[in-house]
Amino acid sequence: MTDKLKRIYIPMTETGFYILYCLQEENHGYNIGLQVKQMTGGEINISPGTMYGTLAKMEKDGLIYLVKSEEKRKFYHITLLGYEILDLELARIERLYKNSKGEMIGGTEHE
Amino acid sequence: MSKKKKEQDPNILIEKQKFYISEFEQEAAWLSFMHREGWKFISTDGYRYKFEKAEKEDWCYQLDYKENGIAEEDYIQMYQDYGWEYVGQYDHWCYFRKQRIEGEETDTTLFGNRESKLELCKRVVNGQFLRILPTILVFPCFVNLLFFFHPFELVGPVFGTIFSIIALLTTLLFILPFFIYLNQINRLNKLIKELGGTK
Repeated sequence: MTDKLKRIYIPMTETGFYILYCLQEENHGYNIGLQVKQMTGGEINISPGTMYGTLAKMEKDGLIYLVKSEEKRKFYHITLLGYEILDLELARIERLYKNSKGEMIGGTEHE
Repeated sequence: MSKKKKEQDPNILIEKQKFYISEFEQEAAWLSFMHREGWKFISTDGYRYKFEKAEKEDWCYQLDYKENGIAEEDYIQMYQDYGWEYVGQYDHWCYFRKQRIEGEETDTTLFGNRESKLELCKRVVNGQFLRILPTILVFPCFVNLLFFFHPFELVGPVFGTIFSIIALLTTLLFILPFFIYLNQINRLNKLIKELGGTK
C-alpha cells in the first residue's frame, strides 16, 4: 500500500469508516446509508452527496470495486487494499480505546 | 416575438437572476423561496430562471457540482433513493428538490457534514480551473501576435489597424473570463476558509 493512500485515509472520517466497513458485504449507496443509520441508532446519517462522493473516491483509489449495476444502482464490494486500510484503521481505533481506558500498548508499563 | 409571448403566459415566469458559483446556497434558498411563493423551478441557462405556476408548497432545493458534467443514471437514482427529485442540469450544476412535510423530519441537505461541503467547494474550484486552462494557454499567443508580429509593416496602415483592433478585442475576450474566474475562486476560497478547511 502506498504511503499516499495511508495519509489520505488514516485516520478515516466517520462516514468513510462506516461505508468501507459496510462494504465487506456487497451493497449500494442508499442501502449502505440505511444500514449505517440502523447500526448507529440513527446517530450517523450519511447524506447523498457525501455517499456518492465517498463511493466514487474509494472506487478510484481502489478501496472498493464495482460488482454490478442493477436497476440503475451501483453495487460495490471492498477490495484487498480496502481491507488493508480497514484493518489499519481498526487497529488505530482499538489503540485509542485501550489507551482511553488506561491500558498500555505492548503490555509494558512506564517506569 | 415568441419569447415575449411565452413570458406573457400566466403560468410561466421568467426571472433574471445572477448567482456566482460561490453562491450556490443562496441560489438554492432563492429557488425554495420561489416555490413557497407558488413558482416551481423548471430550468435555467445560468441567467434566466424559468418557473411554472404551482401550489405554494415548502420544497427544499439543493445544488450539486458534477466535475465531469454528466448526471449519470446511477447518480440520479441514488439521490432519488434518498427522496430527492432531479430537476435538471445547467452546466456542471445539478438541481434537486425535496418536499418538506410538516411534522416530519426531512433531511434537507445533500451535504450533511462540513467535510463533504468542503469537498464540494474544492470540486468547484478544480472544475473551474480546468475550464480556464485553455484560456491561460492561448492568451500568450495573442500577446505574441500583438507585440512581436508587426502588423503595420506587414500589411500596411489600414489593415494593420484593423488587425490590431481585432487582436486587442480577442485578447480582451480571453482576459475577461480569467478575471471572472479569479473573482469566483476568491469567493469560493473564502467560503472554504469559513468552513474551516485549508486550500
